[in-house]
Amino acid sequence: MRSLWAIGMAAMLTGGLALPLLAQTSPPALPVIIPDLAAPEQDLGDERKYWVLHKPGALVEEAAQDLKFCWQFVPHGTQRRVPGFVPFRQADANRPVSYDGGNYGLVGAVIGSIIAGPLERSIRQSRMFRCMVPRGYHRYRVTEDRWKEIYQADAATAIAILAAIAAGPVPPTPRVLP
Amino acid sequence: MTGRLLKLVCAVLLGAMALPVQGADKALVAADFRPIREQDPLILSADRGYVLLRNDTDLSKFTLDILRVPSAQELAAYDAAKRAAFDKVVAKRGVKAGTIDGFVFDYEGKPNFFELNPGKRRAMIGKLAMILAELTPGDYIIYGTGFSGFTYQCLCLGTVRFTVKAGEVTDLGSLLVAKAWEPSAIPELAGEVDLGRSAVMDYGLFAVGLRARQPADWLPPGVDPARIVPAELHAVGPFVDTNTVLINRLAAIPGVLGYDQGRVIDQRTGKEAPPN
Repeated sequence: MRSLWAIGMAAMLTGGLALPLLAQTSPPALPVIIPDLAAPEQDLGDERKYWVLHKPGALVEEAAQDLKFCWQFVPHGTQRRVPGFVPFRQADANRPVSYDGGNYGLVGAVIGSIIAGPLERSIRQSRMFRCMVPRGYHRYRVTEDRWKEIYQADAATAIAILAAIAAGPVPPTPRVLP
Repeated sequence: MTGRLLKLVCAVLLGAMALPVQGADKALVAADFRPIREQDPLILSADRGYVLLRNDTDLSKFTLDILRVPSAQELAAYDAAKRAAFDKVVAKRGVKAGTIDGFVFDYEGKPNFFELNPGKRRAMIGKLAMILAELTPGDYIIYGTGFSGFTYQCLCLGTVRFTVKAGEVTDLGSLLVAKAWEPSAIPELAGEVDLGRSAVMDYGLFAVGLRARQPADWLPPGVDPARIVPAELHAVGPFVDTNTVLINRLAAIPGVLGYDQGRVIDQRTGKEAPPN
């Protein structure tokens, strides 16, 4: 019961939720369903990319805060040019990255569309890995489909689910070791 | 055919990484930052600051990107220019212009972001590049590493700042770089390397550190050694930048910069360096 309450708190902390929620009769918040992460080893995705996090002893609020902090690095923008001006300590717009192939026409556009997804996923996961692992989180493998289901939801939903997983039971899949 | 296809993939990939962004005005840059190369006369001005960095190009040819902390006036000028540019877009496109928070703006005013580039060095001794640059006195942050005029990874998860004083050469010591996915023999990078395959997916993560000047280290001939002062480093908490490829942190520096569960610790005070 305590964990359901904690998970509900994570949902409150991270804002509104859009994924299916477990019906509750007693507010204050609806708990998140932890998805079934179990899968045969051969179905698990590339261990460098497709994982969820778990931290022994973590409270869901703490996990939600850590995830929220690290999620700020999820948008990927075009690299800064040097020399230039950086409005340090002020929000600066993310410069969208384009994979349209530039001057390489239709072939370039096709190649761009093929590489865009995998590249963006590896950049995103590299950033989350670098930000979350030093905070004491361990990574556990999941299938590519499950990963997409979790991570490609809106940020508040994804954070709420990931926080619930991070503070819940140890995931049943193999841990990713360096 | 395979070779041509590979070249095309690489071109698209690089294009996605580095779309053309308007560069800063060259005259403005020169007024603020100037690498002093081998062929340049070495005359230290009393009203300018200088930085010195050693970069072992056997370890990496990355640039070290530094940021001068902008003043309130500089930020106000930037905000005003951005607002004016945004208003012009709104006048043309109406609501399709979006919000000013999401408005991508190329500022052409006074720059504050520079690179210490081993290709623009004062001297080369073996594979060791000695980089000397003239810049505006002020507070600077070790911001990240890059190449070819673009940032590659920011040190957004923890870094240091230092002050450059007029008439002095601030000695940053030596830049240390290693592949984060492999072990490294560099003791200062312990804890930032040997991270395994996750540190090298489509892009490789690099461990970055600074080693304070050692007694035998090179000093620029013709400069009074008394004017060369070791940089006084202070921990800087995390900052958010998404306009880069990867994110990382500067390796811990005993007595200055440490980490605890990912939090940046100012070891001069023993307290957390708060996020920026």
